[in-house]
Amino acid sequence: MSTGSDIGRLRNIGISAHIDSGKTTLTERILYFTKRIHAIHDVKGKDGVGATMDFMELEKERGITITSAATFCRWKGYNINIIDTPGHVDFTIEVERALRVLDGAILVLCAVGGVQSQSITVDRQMRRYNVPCVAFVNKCDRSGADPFRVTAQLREKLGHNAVMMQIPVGLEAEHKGVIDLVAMKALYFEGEYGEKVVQAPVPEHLKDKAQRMREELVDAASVFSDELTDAILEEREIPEQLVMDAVRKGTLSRGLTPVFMGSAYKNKGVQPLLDAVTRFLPSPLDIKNEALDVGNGDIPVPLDSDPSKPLVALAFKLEDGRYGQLTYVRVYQGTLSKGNTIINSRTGRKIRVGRVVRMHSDQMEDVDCILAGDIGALFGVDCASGDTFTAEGLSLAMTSIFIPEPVVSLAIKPADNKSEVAMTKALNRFSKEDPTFRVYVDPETSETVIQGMGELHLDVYIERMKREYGASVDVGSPQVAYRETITRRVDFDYTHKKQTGGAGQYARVAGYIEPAPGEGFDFVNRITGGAIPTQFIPACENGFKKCLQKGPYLEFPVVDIRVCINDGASHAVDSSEMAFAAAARNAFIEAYRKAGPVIHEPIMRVSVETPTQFQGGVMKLLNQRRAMIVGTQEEGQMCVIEASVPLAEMFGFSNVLRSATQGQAQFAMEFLEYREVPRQIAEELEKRKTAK
Amino acid sequence: MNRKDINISDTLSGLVGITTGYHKPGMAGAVVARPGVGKTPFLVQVALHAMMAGRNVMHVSLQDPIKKVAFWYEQIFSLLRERHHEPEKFVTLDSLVSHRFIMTMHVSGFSVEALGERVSDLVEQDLFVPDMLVIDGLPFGGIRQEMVEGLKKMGLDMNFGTWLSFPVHREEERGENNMPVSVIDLQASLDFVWELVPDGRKIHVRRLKDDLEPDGSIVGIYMDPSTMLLAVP
Repeated sequence: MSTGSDIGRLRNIGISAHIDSGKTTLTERILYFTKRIHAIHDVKGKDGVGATMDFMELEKERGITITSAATFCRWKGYNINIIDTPGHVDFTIEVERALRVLDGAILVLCAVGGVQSQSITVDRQMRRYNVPCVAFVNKCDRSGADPFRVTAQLREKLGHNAVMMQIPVGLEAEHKGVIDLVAMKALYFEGEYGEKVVQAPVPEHLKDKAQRMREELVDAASVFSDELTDAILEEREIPEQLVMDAVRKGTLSRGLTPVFMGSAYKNKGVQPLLDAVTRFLPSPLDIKNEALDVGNGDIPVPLDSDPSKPLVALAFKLEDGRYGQLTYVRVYQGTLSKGNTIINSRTGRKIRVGRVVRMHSDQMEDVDCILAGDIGALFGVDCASGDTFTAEGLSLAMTSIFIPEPVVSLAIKPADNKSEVAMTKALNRFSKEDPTFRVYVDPETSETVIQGMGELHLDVYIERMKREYGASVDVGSPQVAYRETITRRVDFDYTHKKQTGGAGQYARVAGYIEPAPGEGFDFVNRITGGAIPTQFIPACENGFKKCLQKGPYLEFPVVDIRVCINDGASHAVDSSEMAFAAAARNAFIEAYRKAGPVIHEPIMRVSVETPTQFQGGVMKLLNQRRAMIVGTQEEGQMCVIEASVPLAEMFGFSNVLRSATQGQAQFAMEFLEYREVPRQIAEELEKRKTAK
Repeated sequence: MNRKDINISDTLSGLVGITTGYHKPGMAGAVVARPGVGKTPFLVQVALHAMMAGRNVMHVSLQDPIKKVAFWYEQIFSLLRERHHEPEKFVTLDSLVSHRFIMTMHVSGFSVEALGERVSDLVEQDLFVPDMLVIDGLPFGGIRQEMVEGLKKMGLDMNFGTWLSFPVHREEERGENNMPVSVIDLQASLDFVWELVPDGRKIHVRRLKDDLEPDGSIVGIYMDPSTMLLAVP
């Protein structure tokens, strides 16, 4: 547990990378060397145990990390919280949430694969949250490893000012250790698990190269330190600390990315990486955090990592574990102590803090409090992911986490009665845990529909329902979230008149509808002279709004439309809210049909990385899927094809791609924009609607 | 799409007329300038002109990633659009990008043979059939005469013209017609060599060699250094 004086010796870091670049193995080794675990397991463990961070069964089976588990360790007097983040793009909300609460990150890259498509996505996210990082080039023991090429790719592809802090002593099967370019010493890792770091002079044959690379390093670092620049100009001896201070300054400003290397699997280079985390990545004191003053127009308020100030904490992750609901929190200001009363600023509810724990993967240790800057977990707290907890009297909320809109939906129904209850329970839990996972019941078909960020994203939840809740569900085929909009302005003038005995209904609305790109729904009231009495205006707006949920064209939600009313008429007796709502609805439907309605579909930005020999084949596959190929990027034996492809065409793409490339290609995709569907597809959708 | 479908101003139409005259099948020409003067925006505009004329352009970049190349197009295009008297009626970039294919290669991995393989692959599968090839980012002295000849032959076989860009040094010695010495060996194979020459207010386009206009010394266009847009005097 950190105390007030040692927040400076605390690091909250994430380990972000492309799937299969070995980040879970690296985390495992870090936990071993920091003595949090006492044995080493592989990701797809031959011993059936699996790596400690991948604690969900599904993750163990697929060899991927789905849920980011927080874990805590100590290294040379520093406390380190590590969040293991998922590598697959469909789970990026996990990565985004992790990055929101972290102060720094290790960007793991494969020495063979280099900067791959997913690394680009992860890097973009890091940039969004301004997270400083150090890079670790892993798998230097593999055939084809080339950390120099990977460093160059970091510069060229990701635009990092990447600087090598080490160079390898041997590569592939000959990989023995690394040369520390600051201390100019070779480091070897001896003992059964490489636990003993042995320093030795730089081997003769690498002396020139090491000297040259050191000069490059010092030169790059000097940009961040006048003192270092002076030392270089005066040709003085350069103290190690001076270089490290400059590198730290560069790293914190994201102006420089120090590159380390080794092989986690072969236990090489992990300890120097831990040193780097403590030396170069920021402590909570180095980061400026802000909250929004909810009661005062959302004005940003700076937070202070001072444990004695009033509490501000963010619930960044919920988990339903074997001990009940676990809420991961990051404390930004003040102290979160057992027995305290705190406020959930979203609901205004008071919460009494019960157990406070520090997590080590799926094991935990009880603690009394979590101080400013630190990460921990609470038990039995009812809240949603992204909620802010504050001390009484504060009305602050942490800035909301960027949440993308879901793009795929899937109808599900329980296979039997027993599953029905379990499914409901599971869906409640998942939608609380993951804001990109949404659930609703289709009022027409009464089917339960789940929505998410991709096929795999939803697949994983279906699997989790089965494994964790015992709910077997029947799944429909995935549906794309289409939208409708209009393409031209149309005037309307509609009179709703009904005289069926008793009080009649009378309302007249006139105005126009027009496209309003990027504005969702915009209602404009230009009624003058009381043509429509003021009390009926909200009824008109509601009447229009009701039409938007299911568009008159193909029943998709209507977006980017402006409705303006500028005239109308009412009757002293027969006009009512109901009459105006009905008039608005009918006016809209009438005008909408003439306004050139079109369907928009989600377009994904897809990048496929494939060996060059399959380039033509992959492009053909993409072309068959209505892709717009933006270009190709040659990277030696590999090439990256960038394209924008309608999501509707991407279902099942991973299987097709795998079989077309002997499993050697991989792809990443993320939402790009909504775009109008071609006429032919619109006609198909029309036919499908008629067939219903 | 053909010329009639697109809405471009008369000025732009004039520019399109000038530049598109220079990519006949089998032709190869070069734009030379000191680093930073504006070879890339110049080539991007030549490519955009071709795309507006309904031609397919393959942009081969040996320096920048796809995203950066695409960004150049977006930037230049939005400036062109702003300049148009009725921007909302101007052709959209979305309608043009199907005429463009960006290919990025490492300088070290670049060869006419490798490029030929890629282009044939695309043409054979009917994925993209270029009418014009733009090769940007060649380093100083990065191309030899036989490579230019190879490109011309490939262009003749596959029906495209090629525009290249080369950097020249500020202090580089000049030969006949003010031709930089690093280009002298290539000039016999190149159909035209244009140099971008900044004078503070304008970036002039000077003909060092031009088989189509052998007697003119200044091309009738210049670049505005504040926007990098091409214009006619």
